[in-house]
Amino acid sequence: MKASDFFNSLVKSGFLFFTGVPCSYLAPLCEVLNQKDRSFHVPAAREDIAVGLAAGAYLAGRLPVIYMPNSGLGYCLEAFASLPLIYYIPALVLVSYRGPADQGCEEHLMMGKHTEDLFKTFHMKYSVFRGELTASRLKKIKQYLVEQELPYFLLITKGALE
Amino acid sequence: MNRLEAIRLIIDNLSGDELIIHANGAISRESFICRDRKENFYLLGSMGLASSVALGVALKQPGRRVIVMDGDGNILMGLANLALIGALQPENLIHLVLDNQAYGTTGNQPTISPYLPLYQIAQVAGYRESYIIEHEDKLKKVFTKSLSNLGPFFIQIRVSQEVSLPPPRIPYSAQAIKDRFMDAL
Repeated sequence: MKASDFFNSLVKSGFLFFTGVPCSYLAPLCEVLNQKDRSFHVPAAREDIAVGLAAGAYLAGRLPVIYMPNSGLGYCLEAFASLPLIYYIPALVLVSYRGPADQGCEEHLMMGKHTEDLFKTFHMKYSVFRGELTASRLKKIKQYLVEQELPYFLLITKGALE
Repeated sequence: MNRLEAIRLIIDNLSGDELIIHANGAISRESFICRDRKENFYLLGSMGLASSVALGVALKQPGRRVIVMDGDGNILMGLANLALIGALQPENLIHLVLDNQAYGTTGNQPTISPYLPLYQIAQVAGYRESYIIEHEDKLKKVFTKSLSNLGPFFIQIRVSQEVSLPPPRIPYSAQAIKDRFMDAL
């Protein structure tokens, strides 16, 4: 899916603050985001800071999107556990699914193998995004965020955003 | 001055409905004792992230003054926040650091704060104004100034490790803290 279309459908759904740490899988989206104003998109220095910024934006009345590589998920599990998951702060979290398609990259294999297990262990709702975001799927995700007030994770596979 | 005295001075000199994001542990609890307000957001955990949350609020509520009540242990855990705040220049942000040179909540184990001029780091990072303060009269003066001038302000406050009575935990659930804070906006 084209990153600009993906971005536009998120904005149309009411996501008005983006923050995170880049990943090569997410690079096309980052290219779109980097054209935006800093009150709309903040490149965070660390993934846990992105979780904090998104929480702040939500407190201030904006539905946030966080993006990060799955390596960053390891860095900020505690941030999720002690902020959005207990304060009931919703966010759409785009996590690149490095590992399965990265046989040459040893550093991604361990996290890639256990990424879905981490979501299950922490009872964090997720699904895999392989390049298609239909209006009805996005509507369901938005509904989950608004009704449950919890983060929802989309695992972004290699090449899903272009 | 000790930490509780510094917090009390700040709370007593607020001009009105400033939003305050509190770092976890003793800082949240002592502020709660001084005066619980609906504009107070208490982090129960998430050490290092008080300034991240405050920055998020400040960017999306540019018309409100946002204060982060941070500690030296907290700020050392999230030094990258100083870089981010310096880069983004939120004019409505006041960053207070209650520096007791220790992890106060866990038993005053030493931090590396005595070896590090935090206020200078903030200055280099790009905060508009940065101070280090040891006395109450100067704290009152600088804090009052920060309420009506363009930030971001960084105010490092040297406090003693003296605690007369350990403050109780915040009696609200995380969700209740959030709901109340959002209602105050």
